[in-house]
Amino acid sequence: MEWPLVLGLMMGGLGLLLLIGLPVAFAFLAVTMAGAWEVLGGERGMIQLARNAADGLSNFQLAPIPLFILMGEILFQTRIAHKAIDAVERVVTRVPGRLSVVTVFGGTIFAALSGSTIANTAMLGSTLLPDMLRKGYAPSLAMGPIMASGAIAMLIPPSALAVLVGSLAGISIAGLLMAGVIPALILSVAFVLYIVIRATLNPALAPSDDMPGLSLKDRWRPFMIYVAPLSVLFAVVIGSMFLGFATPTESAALGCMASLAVGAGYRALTWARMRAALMETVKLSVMILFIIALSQTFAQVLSFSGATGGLIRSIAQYELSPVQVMLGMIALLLLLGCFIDQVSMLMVTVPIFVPLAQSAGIDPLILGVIYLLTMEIGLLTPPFGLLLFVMRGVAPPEIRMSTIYASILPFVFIKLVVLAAIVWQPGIATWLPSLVR
Amino acid sequence: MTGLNAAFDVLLQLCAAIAAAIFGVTAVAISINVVLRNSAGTTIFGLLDAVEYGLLAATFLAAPWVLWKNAHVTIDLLTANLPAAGARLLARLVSALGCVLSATFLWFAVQAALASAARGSMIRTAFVVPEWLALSAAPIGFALISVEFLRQMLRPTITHDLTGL
Repeated sequence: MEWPLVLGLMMGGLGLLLLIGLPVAFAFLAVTMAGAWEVLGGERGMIQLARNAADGLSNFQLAPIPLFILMGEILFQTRIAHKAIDAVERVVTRVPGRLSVVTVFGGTIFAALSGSTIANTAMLGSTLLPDMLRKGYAPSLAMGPIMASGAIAMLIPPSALAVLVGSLAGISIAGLLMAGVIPALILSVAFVLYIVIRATLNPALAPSDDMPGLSLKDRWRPFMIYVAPLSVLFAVVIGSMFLGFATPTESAALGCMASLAVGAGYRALTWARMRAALMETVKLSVMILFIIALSQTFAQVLSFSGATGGLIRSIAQYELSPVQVMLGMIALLLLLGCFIDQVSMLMVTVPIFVPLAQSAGIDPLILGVIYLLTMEIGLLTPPFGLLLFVMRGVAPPEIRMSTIYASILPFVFIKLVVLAAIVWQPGIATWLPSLVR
Repeated sequence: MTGLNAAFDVLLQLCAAIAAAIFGVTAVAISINVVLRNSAGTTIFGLLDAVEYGLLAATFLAAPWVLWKNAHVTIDLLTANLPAAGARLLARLVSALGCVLSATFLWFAVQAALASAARGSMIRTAFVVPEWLALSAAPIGFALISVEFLRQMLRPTITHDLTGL
């Protein structure tokens, strides 16, 4: 069978199965089984598929995925993160759009403690949105910052998806975890600037709501109790990798232990909360690891059919520059992000993009950061960005889906600008990892 | 039948609890290993291999429970816009398709394990383990998944958790 036909059938079949609602893992399994039968030699190919499923998971590099998720879940279930948000709210004063700014600060702090964009968005939404709406904030300045800063968890370590990208694409996981830090901080600053400018130009969007009558001690004491100690967690995860004291897997495990210690310090650890944290970890981790197991052979089938090589040769004919290749990849990832989930985006494109980036001479770290940022944008782009639906779940019923869509668009635009800046100046992402190379 | 269903629910939850224990023990063991390596210059023997087998076992053991919880990622572009009766019918068809796919994969996964056992293949890393043992994780998981899809075909659900990172 010619490679364009194999590629078309596999991608078309995958799209159709996803459309009818077959879980992603099983949609990959279906097209890979058909492809393995056709391309890898009938029954022999199917047995290879079964063996690959086991081999693909026996990979130490994947261990940070459940560990980073567990770390975030411990902090989420013990409600330490919620207390931290309350504490941040007390210290942010006399700023236009104050609660929106608190949202961005809180979201960035929790992003450094958890790899889950859903948990981050749900937490920010449930703690801050009712207050903002009650105080008369416009939905665009109430919901937009929650979703936009909730998504930052994908970029800042601990990020399970960064581990997944690094592991699948053969990119240094430690390097990729660090490469996301500066772009994420730039995003946070840009969000704050946007909020302050919008709220200054049109104060009706965010009525003034400073907390009255609080002394300096009342403002800062909760911050020192509930936020400052959390910096230990970030130091443990990033510091241990940065100093070469631990591998990403080890830093993730240490992060779990540090979260437990912090939880114990606040007397917030109970068996019920630990059980909830572990079971949520199983749910999220297994969902991802299972897709990885079943899609191991997907790339192999594409490669053996000649689709990977054929596609890359076809693109090479156009003699594109690395930046043009990157822009093409970004366009495709952004399009996919509007319709499919992040793990599927990776699984479909990594077999093509990694060799393509190699042949075009694109720095693997930049490719990794592009993946993370476009996947982050994919969480927010209408019509099916996941975080839009998380927001739908926590927002009052009278808020329409179209209002949620409209509220995120300025923030998606900011993310696109930062993405363009990284393509233009890759040092934004590569500088920090270069310090430890 | 109700008793069998309840027993199967308990079995799935037990599998998920084992996976949770594996992840918990992994976090503790790796942390101890870092401390041992940096303070005493020694490490836990075979930890790396144990963690890899742990990931394998946890994933295939808990995947049926994740399906039971309707938490495998699903894209409801179409299903969310169908009337309830149509969505329920589509859910039945999707579950039937899932059951057939899983049973087919189960068949070949069993063949892979049996062929390995017949050859006497061993995995020689820190531990020497018969390869069929590692290859048995997928058939166990897929046997449970096939049954769960069958149950969902009989009792379709049209709502899904928002799952993702």
